[in-house]
Amino acid sequence: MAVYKRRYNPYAGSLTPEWSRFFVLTRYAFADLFKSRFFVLLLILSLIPTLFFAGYIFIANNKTVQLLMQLRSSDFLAVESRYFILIMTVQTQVAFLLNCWVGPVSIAGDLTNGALPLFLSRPFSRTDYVLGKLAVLGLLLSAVTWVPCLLLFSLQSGLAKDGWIWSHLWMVVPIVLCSAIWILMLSLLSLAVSAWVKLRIVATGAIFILFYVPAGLGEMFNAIIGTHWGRLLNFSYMFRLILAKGFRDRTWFLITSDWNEIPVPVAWGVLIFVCLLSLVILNVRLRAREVVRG
Amino acid sequence: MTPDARRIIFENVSKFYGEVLGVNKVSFSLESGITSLVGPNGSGKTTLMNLLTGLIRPSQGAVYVLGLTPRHPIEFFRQVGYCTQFDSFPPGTTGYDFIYWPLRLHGFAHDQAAKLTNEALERAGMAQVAKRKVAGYSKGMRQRIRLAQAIAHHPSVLVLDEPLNGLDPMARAESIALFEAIAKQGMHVIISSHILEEVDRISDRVVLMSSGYVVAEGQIREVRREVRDHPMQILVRCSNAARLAAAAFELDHVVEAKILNDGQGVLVRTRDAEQFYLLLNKIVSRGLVEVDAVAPADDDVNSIYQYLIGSDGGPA
Repeated sequence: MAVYKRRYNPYAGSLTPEWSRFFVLTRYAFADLFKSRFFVLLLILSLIPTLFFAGYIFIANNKTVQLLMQLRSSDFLAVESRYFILIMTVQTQVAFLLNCWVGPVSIAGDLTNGALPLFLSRPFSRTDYVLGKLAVLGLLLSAVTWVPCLLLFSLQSGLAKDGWIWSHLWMVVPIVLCSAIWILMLSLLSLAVSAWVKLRIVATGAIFILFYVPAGLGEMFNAIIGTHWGRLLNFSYMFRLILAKGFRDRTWFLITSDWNEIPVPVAWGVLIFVCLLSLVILNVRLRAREVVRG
Repeated sequence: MTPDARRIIFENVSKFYGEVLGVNKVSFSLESGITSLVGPNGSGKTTLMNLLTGLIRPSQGAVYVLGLTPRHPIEFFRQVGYCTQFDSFPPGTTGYDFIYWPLRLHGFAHDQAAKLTNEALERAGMAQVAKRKVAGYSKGMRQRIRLAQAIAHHPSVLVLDEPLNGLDPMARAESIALFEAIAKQGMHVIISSHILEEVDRISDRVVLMSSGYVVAEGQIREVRREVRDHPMQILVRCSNAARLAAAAFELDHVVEAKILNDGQGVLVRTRDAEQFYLLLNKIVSRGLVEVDAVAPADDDVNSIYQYLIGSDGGPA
């Protein structure tokens, strides 16, 4: 039998806080994402509508420019809740497209490369892993939804003066809350798809299918049965319902049906259900080993 | 009872994947040094390694690594370094990144992680190519970079799944030297390998597995002694081979005594090696034969593997 001198001492120095370690994955993913020129281009393009919205707010609040451009104040949509619904609607759709590019490869790459045992044989749980991946999409989609929206809100507050900010401060809540549920649902859904489908193009297609096919089926169901509950399968519609309620605008043109036909708490419930379902799928798929049966 | 903080202990561990058996009723206790897991494909080696590294939890029983369980992941994973057998890496990753980022997951700040990365690269002989992409590495370099990653955070237990696969003889010798150096410092090194000759050379003990069961565990010679169904083979190089063979045949436990082709020795198969050595002592002391060398011919991993598992991979 070999006799060994115990000269070996494991590292005993200081470590970073445990709660912050999931950001390592986020930083690595961002470093990887920004290597892609196409992604950078897509990110820049997704911020272009914000520039138009900012320009519009500037002109709407500047009489001199309006005179120079020979515009009348009545030609403008008032920068009120409806305008912010428009901004939110555009930016959340931009977020959807951005998510369709980034989301599908988030987990699929790790599964293909057998990277999960690599991560999970560290002091790093599956929850940390999902949080790390979620933070990538969360930060990215925030950058094109509530962050520019709040910047535009600040711009309007600064230009409008006359206490506009105080009479409209309540809008901060729907901007943040509606963006949060949309970002959370999109991110979790695309992570779940990514954990299931390994090819980017197929995963991107699957996300589109999950958004548009159930919506179509729901409308068919409505037409056949003569009800409106089929719209529960239309996630975008559920979001617009929440958005309209949040901004207290019943006449918003995207809500074509009667305001009260689907209660807003039910709409919240649908989006939260999609989030929970995605978490269940992630729980099933994210394992440190793959069992080959048969 | 508090588990031993210096040993790796499996207590009646079973793991089932649904109806599929991973390992069944495995119990052993390992001290520091090099232990090899040996068995055919599908025998449960990787499951055992996954249990050891906390990647999966046992369906029954308990696993203690230096007194820790995966229920305390921070302490547990700090002690364990795992080198998987997967030969795939994130696209575009450099050797440096492959070690640096997992160190950040361990909680090392940038400076410390960079220092440990460079140290691990040096130890694995990969410092010169660290900035190159892993995709451009040879198979041997990939093995070494995985090894560097497994040792980078200074674990006390190093688990290596097929670490010698695909290595050329030079790289293999370097890797083995590294394992031996690590083990000599008092670390636990657990190796799964199909290359039995090298397992035999470097291992302090073996765990032989078949169909999810541990069929033998311990130091190689001890295990061989326990395999009583197969008589031990002892090779004696001597001057008067016929005389020795005749004397050996008088013993009940000797089942075969075969004179070598060159007439300069005998291969004896006996059920009681100790008794045979006593006989040999007597014969030599009487001056009847002159012995040049005596050596067991089948107390190596390869023979034990053949006896206990068989060439078909099923239990003997």
